[in-house]
Amino acid sequence: MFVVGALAVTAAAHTFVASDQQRIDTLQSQLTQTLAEQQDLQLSRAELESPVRVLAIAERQLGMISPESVSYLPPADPGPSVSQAGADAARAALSAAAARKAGPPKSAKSAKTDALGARKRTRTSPAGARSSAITPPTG
Amino acid sequence: MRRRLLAMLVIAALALSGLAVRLVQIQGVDAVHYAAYGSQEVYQRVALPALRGAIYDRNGNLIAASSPRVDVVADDYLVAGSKTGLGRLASILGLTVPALRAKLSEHDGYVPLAYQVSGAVEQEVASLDLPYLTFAPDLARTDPDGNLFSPVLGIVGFAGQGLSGLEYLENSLLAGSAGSEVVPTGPNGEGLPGSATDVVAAHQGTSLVLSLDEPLQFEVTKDLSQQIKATHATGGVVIVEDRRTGGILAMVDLVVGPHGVVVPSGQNLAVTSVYQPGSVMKLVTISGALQSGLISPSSVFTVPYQISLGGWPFSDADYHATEQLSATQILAQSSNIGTIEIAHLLGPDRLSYFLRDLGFGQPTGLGWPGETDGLVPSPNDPATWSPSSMGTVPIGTGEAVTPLQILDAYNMVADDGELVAPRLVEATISAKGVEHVLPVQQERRALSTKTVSELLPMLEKVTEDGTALAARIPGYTVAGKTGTAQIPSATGPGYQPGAWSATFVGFAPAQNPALTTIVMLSHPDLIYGGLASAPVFSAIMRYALRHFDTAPTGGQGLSAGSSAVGGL
Repeated sequence: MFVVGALAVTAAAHTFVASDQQRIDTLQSQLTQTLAEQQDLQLSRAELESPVRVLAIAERQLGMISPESVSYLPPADPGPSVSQAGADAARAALSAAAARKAGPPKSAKSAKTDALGARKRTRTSPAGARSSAITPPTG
Repeated sequence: MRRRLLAMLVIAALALSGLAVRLVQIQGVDAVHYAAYGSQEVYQRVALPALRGAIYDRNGNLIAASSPRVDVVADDYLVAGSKTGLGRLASILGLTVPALRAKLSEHDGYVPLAYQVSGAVEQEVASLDLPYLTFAPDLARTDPDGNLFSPVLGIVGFAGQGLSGLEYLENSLLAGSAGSEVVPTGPNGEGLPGSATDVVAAHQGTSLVLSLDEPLQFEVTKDLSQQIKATHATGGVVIVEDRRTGGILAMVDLVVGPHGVVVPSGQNLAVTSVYQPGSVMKLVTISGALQSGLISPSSVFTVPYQISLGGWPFSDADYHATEQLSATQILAQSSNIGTIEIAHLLGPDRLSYFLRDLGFGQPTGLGWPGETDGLVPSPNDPATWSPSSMGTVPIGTGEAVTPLQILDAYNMVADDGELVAPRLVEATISAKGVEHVLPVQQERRALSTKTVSELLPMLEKVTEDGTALAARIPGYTVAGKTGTAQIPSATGPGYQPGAWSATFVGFAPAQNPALTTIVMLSHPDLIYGGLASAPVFSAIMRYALRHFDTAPTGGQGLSAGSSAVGGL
């Protein structure tokens, strides 16, 4: 009787162990699948963000065209460094606030003139570069 | 009756004896064999694939990654007469029914029907419940940017092994190691609940963080592609390098494909292919003479239009009367004769020494698979050195080098005379997510700071009023050098008629360099480096300097400007 009882308990315990193991296997399988989905989603995001894809959509689907040339507007006189220029700008702003009643600051006028002058110089620069940019062949 | 009984007894005894012998054989003599056979039926060793490490650019953008996939495999012996569901299966796998029937008639027992299918396709196929189909684990390698980085990244084979490029170079890190375990299985092969035994854990691959910058790589590809089309070149190479660390920020190799489409090269030409670079090599002669104290930037030379050396005529590009040129003017105007005169002051041995000192004729330190040392003649080797070598070597037509070697030599000047090895991998990320930043490789001093301080204004002069006005960048000072050389014949001695390579290499800002860039075009119809390649350099650097927040320095180009790439 005792032996039969022990065997029944062992069988029941084994059933529980097998059941839990099955649950663990299922969860591990789900974990693997979820990790794979995560990897796929990361790849999809990277593909969606790719500049190659964005450009293709812009040009082929939205009819956009890339500019033939890109213009950059550098500061008229960056000074010894950007931080220095920033400090100067901050000082100018403080001065402007203090002297607001006295009319527009002279520094603002001169900055505008410099910027315009810079744009004028731009138009002459590339032509000069092309006319004299000759490299002697070697060999 | 008695005899019959006896006979039956003997027969029964013999039968029982046979059973007893068989029992002893199975349970005793062959017990191990049959136990193993039984285990094979129940237990199966299952592979635990290691996920290959991902590759990121310097900003954390994913540029290559693996994802788990399965291969759909059929046991065609199990197909038998039942061929229901073939039409649906063919449709899911993108096959025609006749093609699928042919595959299922191979009598092989293991017929892969489709490789690396996604989880969704796997579920669709599994829902057909076809008993002869199984799914084998596999990994797919994907480059989200398409072929934007392909010459650098290389190829990963079906077995998940890197076959070329960075995937091959760093395969030991990226691949990790596959594991396995033994699990109990049912009659249909499905796993039974129970503890796995003999587990060999899989080690996931290490991920890499590269110095490459995805937005810059895209811009460089766009600019170079435009100029290849505009100049009808057959291909081109651009490398952008971080002056301080030697980190390669962009590496683009483009060629014109069979249908006239500009496509990435099949290999990393910047490292694996050599060419005659032309006047960019004048840096070696000039810097060597400065370093040796033989000249100063203001040293004046009498420069005729043409001289003869070793029985061969050498001349400048354009005819001129004999004139007095300073060393600075010789470099700025790229005078062949003036450079050869300086090389004669230096002599063959010192010229050869400085070629090696600046990194030519030896690996760059990148360790790239298939990287070439280049072909640099030596006066100690008569097979490579001839009487005319003192004319050809100083002007860059007596040696063959890679674009990366040239870039590194100029980056050395930008880095105050220190030669730093280029690199692509900046950090590794373990499977547990721990990032390990790799140290910058040891620098080697090639030129003194005094030599560099003399050389910098000379190189700056090249873009101020020399041969590379088109390399100027509004708001920044630029130093660099042009190179134009004929392309040797592939079939014999001499050159290909009308075939030239055009190079510009330089750095900016000139006085405090941040970036060094080389642009090389092969077979452009605008043959000069100053006309074909310098505008590409300018366009790329305009973007790159702002992209990396490099403060403008003012200088000769201090004005708003527009890129001239493709618009010459």
